[in-house]
Amino acid sequence: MRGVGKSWRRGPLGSPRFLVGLGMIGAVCLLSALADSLARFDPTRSGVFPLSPPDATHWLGTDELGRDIVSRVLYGGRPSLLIGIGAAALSTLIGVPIGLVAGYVGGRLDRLTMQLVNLLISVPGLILALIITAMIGPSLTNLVLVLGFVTWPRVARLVRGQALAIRETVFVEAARAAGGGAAWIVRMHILPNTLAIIATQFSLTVAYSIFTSASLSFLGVGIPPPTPDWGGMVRSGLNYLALNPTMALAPSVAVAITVLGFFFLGSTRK
Amino acid sequence: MIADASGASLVDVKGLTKRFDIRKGAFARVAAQVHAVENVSFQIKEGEVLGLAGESGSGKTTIGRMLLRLIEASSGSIRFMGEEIAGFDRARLLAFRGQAQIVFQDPFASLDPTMTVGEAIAEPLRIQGMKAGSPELRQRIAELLEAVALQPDFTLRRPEELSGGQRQRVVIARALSVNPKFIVADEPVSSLDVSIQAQIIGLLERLQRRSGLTMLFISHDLAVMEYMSDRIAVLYLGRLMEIGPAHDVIAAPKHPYTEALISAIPDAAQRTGRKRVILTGEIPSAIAPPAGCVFHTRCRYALAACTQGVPELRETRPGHYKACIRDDLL
Repeated sequence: MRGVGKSWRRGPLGSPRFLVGLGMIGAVCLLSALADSLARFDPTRSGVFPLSPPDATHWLGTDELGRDIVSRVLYGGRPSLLIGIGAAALSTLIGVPIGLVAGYVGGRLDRLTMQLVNLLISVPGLILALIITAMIGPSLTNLVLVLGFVTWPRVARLVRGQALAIRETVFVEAARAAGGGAAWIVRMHILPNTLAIIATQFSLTVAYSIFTSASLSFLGVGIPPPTPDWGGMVRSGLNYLALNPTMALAPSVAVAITVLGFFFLGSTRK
Repeated sequence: MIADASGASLVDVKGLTKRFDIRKGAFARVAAQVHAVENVSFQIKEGEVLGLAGESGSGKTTIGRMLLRLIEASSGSIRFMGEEIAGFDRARLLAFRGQAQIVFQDPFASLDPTMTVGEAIAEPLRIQGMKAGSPELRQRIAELLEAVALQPDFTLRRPEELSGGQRQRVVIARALSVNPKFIVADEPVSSLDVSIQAQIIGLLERLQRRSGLTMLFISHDLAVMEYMSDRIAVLYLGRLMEIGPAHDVIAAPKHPYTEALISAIPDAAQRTGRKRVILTGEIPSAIAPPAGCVFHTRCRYALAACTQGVPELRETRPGHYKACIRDDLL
């Protein structure tokens, strides 16, 4: 298997798509982190001029309660990023070990695991997340749990496929000939050769989770108000589209930039 | 069967057989069996190089893998230093892995791209219990790199930066790291450029001489094999056709198959003054091998009797055996 794992080490840094993605995410992270000093208004305090169009004070206008939209978009990035990264981390923590074991051990265990994984993948993630969130109630932690649960099967299936391929390589046979046991081979050969795929999938999972959490908020089972949250802002903005379109547009653009950024990062493979 | 009084045998193979099951249908029932290796017996003495020759699919690689217990034999016995390797427990198997090593054919596939050269060479030593990053380990890697004529700074390089010949040197250094007694070299040069082949063969020969390594040298290239080996065994369809001293087998083959194989070496036909023997037809299927002598379908000397019984290996000259019923030729 020539060139396995190469893309990870030699790095996709030369690729413009990767750099653009990195730049987009860097900007979003920076703006969210510095929201305290950048935002000129308290994102949760109501104002006396609801639904005012953009002007010199409120660059993107105000929402139905007179809150500054710029400030709300800045603060709204925090839960989105936390949910996205948290869910991707959880999904990696569950999916990678399961995929590695299924792929390396093979046989009946593999068949059983893959049946479950394929079953979970076949259910649309948003519907599954919607049902579970409606059951356990929306909160930051619950959203991370739900989205981690919805996304781990994809990670497991991908890692399992790679483990299966690496298991058959000559260098793994060489390791076996040198006396390496299952634990050694998984740790020294299969995992390192799977890292590139894991990193890629991590990024795509962050994108998917942010998008899905925004969708959940939009459907009314997201972060409860008054915490600013992009999905929720789009939802309430829709009611006032004619009066102040930026109310729905600004958070939509923010979601788009973040999701695209992580997508670019994750879909760069050489 | 083939007893040899001079020197103790390190590897002793008796009646070695490997059949792979071909499974079909929903219940994975065994539909057929591939007779990869049938009833092969030979010995390799301490310090000896035994060449294993044969076409692709003749079972050479399967035998090499079985000798190292990388795949299990279907039946037969493999003794290493007098011990049955199938009976090894975990601890003994790990020790065995430190005594018997392998060099694979494709140096591009046999090194993990995520490991540096130093890590690859250190792997067998670490599995045997040496601490990563210890001064002894570093010292040993430096010695090994020197032994295979690579610069010390190769330690930190990645396989992707190396040429095929350099990679094969790393693979050899790795195999030698644990000071093995026995090495299976499975077509170690056949994927390299011809100019590099000579260097690697020279290196293998030097290392073998220096430490008195015992080696099973698998190849389809008889010229290389004659140079490397003390004795040569010839396989056809998983059966041993002939085994004897390297020079005798090449210069005066006793088996019709060996004769044909040798006449295919470009300059051997002239050297031995024999005519080129061109085999007709294809190798028969290993799923349904011919009855009697497996070579009779393509043998120009075949008689009716050849289809009857499987010929035994018989000694025709001291130390030279053939599995052919015709004593009137060659």
